[in-house]
Amino acid sequence: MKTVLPETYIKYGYKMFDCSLEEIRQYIDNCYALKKSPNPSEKFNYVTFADVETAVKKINSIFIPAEHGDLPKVQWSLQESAQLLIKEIWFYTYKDPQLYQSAVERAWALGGHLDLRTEQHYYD
Amino acid sequence: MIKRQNIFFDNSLDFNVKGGGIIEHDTKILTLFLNGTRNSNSLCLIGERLEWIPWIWMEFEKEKLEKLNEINIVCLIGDLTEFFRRCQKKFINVKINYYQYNLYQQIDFIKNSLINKTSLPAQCERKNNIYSSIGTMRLNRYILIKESLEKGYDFYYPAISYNISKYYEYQIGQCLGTTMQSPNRFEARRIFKNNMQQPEFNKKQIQFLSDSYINFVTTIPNTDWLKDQEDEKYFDSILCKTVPFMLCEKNSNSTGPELLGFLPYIGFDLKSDSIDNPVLRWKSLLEDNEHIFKDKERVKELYDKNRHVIDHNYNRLVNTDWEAERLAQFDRLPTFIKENLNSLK
Repeated sequence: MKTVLPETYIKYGYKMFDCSLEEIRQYIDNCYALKKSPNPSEKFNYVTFADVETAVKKINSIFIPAEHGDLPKVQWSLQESAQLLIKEIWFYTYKDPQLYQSAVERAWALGGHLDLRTEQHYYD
Repeated sequence: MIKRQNIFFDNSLDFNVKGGGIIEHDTKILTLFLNGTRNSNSLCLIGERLEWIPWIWMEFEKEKLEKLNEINIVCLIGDLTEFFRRCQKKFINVKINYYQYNLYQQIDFIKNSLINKTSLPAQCERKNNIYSSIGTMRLNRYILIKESLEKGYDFYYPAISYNISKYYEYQIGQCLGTTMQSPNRFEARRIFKNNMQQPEFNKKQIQFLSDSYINFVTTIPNTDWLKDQEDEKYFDSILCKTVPFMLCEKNSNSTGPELLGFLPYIGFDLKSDSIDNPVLRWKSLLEDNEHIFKDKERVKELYDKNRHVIDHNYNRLVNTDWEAERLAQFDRLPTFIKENLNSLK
């Protein structure tokens, strides 16, 4: 049985703006035209997720290669009236965090690791 | 009927990552049109190394790529044979074809340089050891500028903001596995006071190139899959009979763009030219050759050693019917590729 390494623990949070992809694209384009940093929370509310499974599906995390997204042990939960999806991860080896992070960065390089409407929260 | 699909790696290519990619489910023959100066075809820092976006994309779409009958790789600049071999190894059950049409894009750079032939000085008096003028900042150019400030080289470059410096320092630190150095703000150092468009600048700088023995060529840093993607910076050096020193892809000094019929220059210390890590390669090449750049006698000696290469490359550049060579390359392509390329024009 594999054992997780407690010191590799990382926590992420995700909220999602309650709008269509077209609406958020339009909002970002407008901000760019006005030379303004986008802050979608000033315009859109957050989605209240029905359950964890739906939330995970909605944020639609992409990893390249996909299998590196499965390297950690993952625990999902919902907080803040089901508007904040929490992802807690632990790795089994010391090289896995780098592989996982690189798989995230490759997805960003091709245009996105998460649904465009997702706001990521960090807990360093 | 067998379904064919074309993908052009240009600035507008959307990889549709969230929608599962761009290869259609029923595609059997996929043709990739690649050149070296587009957003979808550039390098990106991933973890501790720079990776080539088309290769990241192939990793993303590998399951669909593995099911294809055929992949055609059309190289529109430089040489992508290493990439072709890599694809052959990765997709062993797919027929991979490679088509070389580097003059599709490189002929424009060559023509742009040849326009400046009339600006060549009647007589050259080479007063400067080294020369470099940088317009758009890129990672290899940032490394060169920092070296020039440290070593007192007389180079020209645009202003670099604190945030841009931070962006490059982060990449350097990651690629070298070292602590990120403090970012800085650099004032611009320009040859000409007036703002001008690139063609006018290139024409005016011919005098400066012709006054120097060595010119630093820092083409858009791409990947070691793509080689010999030289642009007007290299061809201008040849035109001015100035020796180019390349901070580009792996072995770009050692081999030169042989595909275009040019010879590599000799006399530099090139033990670092084959280092895989681009940041380490560029920094090491500068360090290994500092003793040459700073010493007029050594520079003149290197220049004299290269006289036959300088003359060969100059003659090749100015006496070749490049349009005829481009047409010959084009004629060798299969009809379906020709038709697609014609639709781009």
